[in-house]
Amino acid sequence: MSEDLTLSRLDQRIATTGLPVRAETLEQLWNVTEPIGPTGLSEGEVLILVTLRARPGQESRLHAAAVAFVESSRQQPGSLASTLHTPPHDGATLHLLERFASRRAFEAHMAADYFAVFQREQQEGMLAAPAEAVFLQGRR
Amino acid sequence: MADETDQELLEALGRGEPEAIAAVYRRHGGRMVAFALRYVTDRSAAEDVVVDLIGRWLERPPRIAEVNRISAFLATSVYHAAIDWLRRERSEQGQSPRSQIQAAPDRRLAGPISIPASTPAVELRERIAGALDRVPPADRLLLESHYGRALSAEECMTELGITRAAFHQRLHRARTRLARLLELDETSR
Repeated sequence: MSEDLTLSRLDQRIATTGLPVRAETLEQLWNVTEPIGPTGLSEGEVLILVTLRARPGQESRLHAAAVAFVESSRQQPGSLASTLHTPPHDGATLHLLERFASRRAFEAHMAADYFAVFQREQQEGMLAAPAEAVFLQGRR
Repeated sequence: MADETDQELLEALGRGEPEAIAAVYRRHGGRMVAFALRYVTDRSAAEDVVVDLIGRWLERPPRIAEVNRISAFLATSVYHAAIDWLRRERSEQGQSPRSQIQAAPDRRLAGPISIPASTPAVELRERIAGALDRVPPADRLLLESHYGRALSAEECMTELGITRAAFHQRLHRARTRLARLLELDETSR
């Protein structure tokens, strides 16, 4: 078999499956990678992580309300992402991860009708504990 | 969680604590996005990769038992997330999910993102990994840099401190060795 054909087959194989990279190689690369900024967010962007824990018996109600909230939130101008994450072995806990292009977009989101509806639903006995929120904002 | 050491943060992450996830992002997010940017096309995509990864951690806390440095953990995690993101994007664009991907996770690494069980592609990847184990270390470093880490020729030349001619000569030698090892494996199967 000619060398060209062998190399061509190698290229096909790498294109099919990729070339495995060792953890230590990745770590070396990590160590020489300059951070893009003080956080992973572009300047002004906002990231919110909210944890909601349902009262016993309220799990499906909370889930349905959160799904409706996320669907509305995604329509909001300046919303970059709104996702719901459910740990597989903990049906009572929901994590809401939202990202907005700016503080102004985030404030408009909080002032929207769907936000008020979701807040009211939470106050109607759906939660076992107050929602916990972590707020991050991109800066220069 | 501002005062925790990276090791404490890593342990809290393994317990799936949302505050730990946020703290990792607050402390290392800038580098996570920069690292993802090595593999995806633009900053917005790199941010998406990292936010997707956070979402995965929220659903399923990462396994950290075998990791003792946050740099090793984050490098592997972001790398796998970026490759996964590329596959999804290309699949959604109607391209073959693997047709243009130069890098792929090593199944032997116990990363936080699951890799499909045995498939022809996984078996092929394992054969490539086995052959890579047998090429000289300098060849392997070059192959990993150029194909696995998707560095350009110029970046490889700078990182390895070699000329363009040396780069092409060494890359050709490394590829030939790897190709021969793979061919040998396949003919002996």
